[in-house]
Amino acid sequence: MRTALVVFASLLVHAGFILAGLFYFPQTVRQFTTSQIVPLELITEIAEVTNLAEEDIEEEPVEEDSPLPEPEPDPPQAEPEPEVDMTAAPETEAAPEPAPEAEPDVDPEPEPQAPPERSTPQPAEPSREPSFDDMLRDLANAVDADRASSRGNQQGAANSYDAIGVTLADSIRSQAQRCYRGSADAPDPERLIVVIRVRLNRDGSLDGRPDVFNRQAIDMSSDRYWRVARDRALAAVIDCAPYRLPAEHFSIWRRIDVTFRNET
Amino acid sequence: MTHIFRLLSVLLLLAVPSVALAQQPLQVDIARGHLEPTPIAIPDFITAGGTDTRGADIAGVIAADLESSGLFTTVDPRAFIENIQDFNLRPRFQDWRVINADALLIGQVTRQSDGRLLVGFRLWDTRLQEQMVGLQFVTAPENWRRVAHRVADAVYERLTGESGYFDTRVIYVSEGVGPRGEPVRRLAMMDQDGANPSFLTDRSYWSLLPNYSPSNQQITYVSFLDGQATTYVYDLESGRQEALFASGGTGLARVDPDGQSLSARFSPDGEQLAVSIELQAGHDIHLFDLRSRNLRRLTEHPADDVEPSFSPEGDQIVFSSSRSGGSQLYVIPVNGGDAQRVSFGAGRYTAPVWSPRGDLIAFVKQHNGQFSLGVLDAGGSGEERILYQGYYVDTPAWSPNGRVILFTRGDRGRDGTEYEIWSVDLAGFNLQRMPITGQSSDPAWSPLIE
Repeated sequence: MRTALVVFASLLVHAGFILAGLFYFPQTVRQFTTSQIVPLELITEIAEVTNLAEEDIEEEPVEEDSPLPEPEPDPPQAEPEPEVDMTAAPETEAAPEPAPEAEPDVDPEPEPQAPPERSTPQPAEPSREPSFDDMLRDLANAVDADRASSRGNQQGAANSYDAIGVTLADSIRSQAQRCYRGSADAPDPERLIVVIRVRLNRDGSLDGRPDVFNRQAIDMSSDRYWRVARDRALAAVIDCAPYRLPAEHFSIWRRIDVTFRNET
Repeated sequence: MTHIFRLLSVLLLLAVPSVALAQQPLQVDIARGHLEPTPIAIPDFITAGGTDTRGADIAGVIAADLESSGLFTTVDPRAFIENIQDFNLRPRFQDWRVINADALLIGQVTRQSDGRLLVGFRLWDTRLQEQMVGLQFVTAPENWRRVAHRVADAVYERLTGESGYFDTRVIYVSEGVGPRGEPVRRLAMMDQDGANPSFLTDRSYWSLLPNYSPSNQQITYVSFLDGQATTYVYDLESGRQEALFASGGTGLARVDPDGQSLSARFSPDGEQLAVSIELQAGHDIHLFDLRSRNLRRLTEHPADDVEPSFSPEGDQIVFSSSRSGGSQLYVIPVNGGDAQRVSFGAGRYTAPVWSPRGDLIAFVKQHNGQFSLGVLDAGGSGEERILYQGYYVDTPAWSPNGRVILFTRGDRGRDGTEYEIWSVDLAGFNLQRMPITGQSSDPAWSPLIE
């Protein structure tokens, strides 16, 4: 009998708690609409596996109603195989270059008035049996010629060399700038400096893939904005080629360092 | 021997001027570029197995996401030359250069034997002729929109350097009218692009000012469920919600019975709330520890200190206060210290929200009868930039990457002010109305969904 009373009292107490919970807690904890998120699994990263030639795909006719600009005739023929590995040694198209690597030291002709024959004949005409003194004489002549055509000419040549360099740099800047999507909308964009080293052919086309001069610093940094700025700078240099530049000053612009910055 | 010396000296003389003059690369400096949107081509995703894989729909959502950012333009598919049918084949880059596509997104959808979708993509740089990123996802077929948003985020991140914000949701207040003409304010949720809208609360009471937790699973909001403004925490997964600072002596929080709780914001670690509570005279900023349930008073000033928002590091709080007369913005360290004023312009500054990037604070300014949405330097230099001006502006909310701001915009309508949610980017460009049916206000932008 006593046990039954205890059980009954216990039941009452428990029921009381449950009732109190029903009346009280709904005001503090309520059940409302739920919002389940369906899971999405990232399986793998896909590597750039493919190196198959495009010829495997059947040719699709070009749609005539394309509202976009017509393809220029030169890019397709300029790069006949798009598979070209830009990092590979560039095939030197010998045709436009008469003596590309004969003596790069000698060929810069800063002043147009300097007669071109003065420097070229000497190395090109080694006597059949040159004595050592002959060689020295030739070299000394070459030095004189070089001085005369450059620094020796009352520093005027150097100044004009600078002036030409400035003009050429302006020309390259104006041509490359339009292809450069800047990063001025990134946080602290002034830090995003990228230097691209470019080698050009005499026709203004790229002589191989341009190098990112500060690549190591960019790659080692965890700054994603900097990596994007690198890609944009690289793409700008590639996209705007070929460059229209005076062939007579090829020796000055055959190698260029383009510094891309993001001033606000 | 002397010969050799003479030879060397002559060689040296020969070399110096040449090297100096000719062999340095020409230096070209480009100080700034253009900021035009990046053109990207997005063909329909290839269907590799099964039918109804939504390859075209997925491509469409990705294109809409990227275009909505203002940072991309999609190339008209009618201009495409190459018809890509093999996901693993290298594209003919010149075909895409010709139509001015700087980037090309190729994707493939496969319905697996278990019915789920396998979605893979490759993003190509058509100028550098290399793949920039490639990923694969698996998910339930009905989840295809989320896959599209995830792909869009990956593309956005790779091409801009900053995190995306497309795989996110927005909670907002849907403003309506009840059967007796009474205003109705309910919480609603949708994907950031307006898809999949649904209501979270019912029409029997007002719900206002939602704010997301960093875990994406909870929100705080102000509810009139009990007849007066009360801060609630709402668990989105379980649907449970809890009153935190109920007035009227329910014992849930140690708040004066006459006190009124307002909008609460989570700390970046999700462990605390910053909330403005009126204890005696005027509102003060308090920190509420969600574990210990301790309430700590942070400001103590006779003037009203309201609308607190944490810095992304969690070490500071910005709030608005009338302590200098008109309402201005102040920053105070969470561990105590003096509040520093950070807004100095004419007018009333309200609704400050700290940017996820940390360098800016969004605000609303009321001056000469006009409302402005702006951002100011969190460092206190006083520099500010107005992004939008209009008849009424309120409740800015940052995208998780700090690039876009949602806000409530009010315009004069036939029956009074009409409220809608709009977005604008950090530079004040790309002003867009959110695709919400009916009137809406008080947006809260979720973090990226995991």
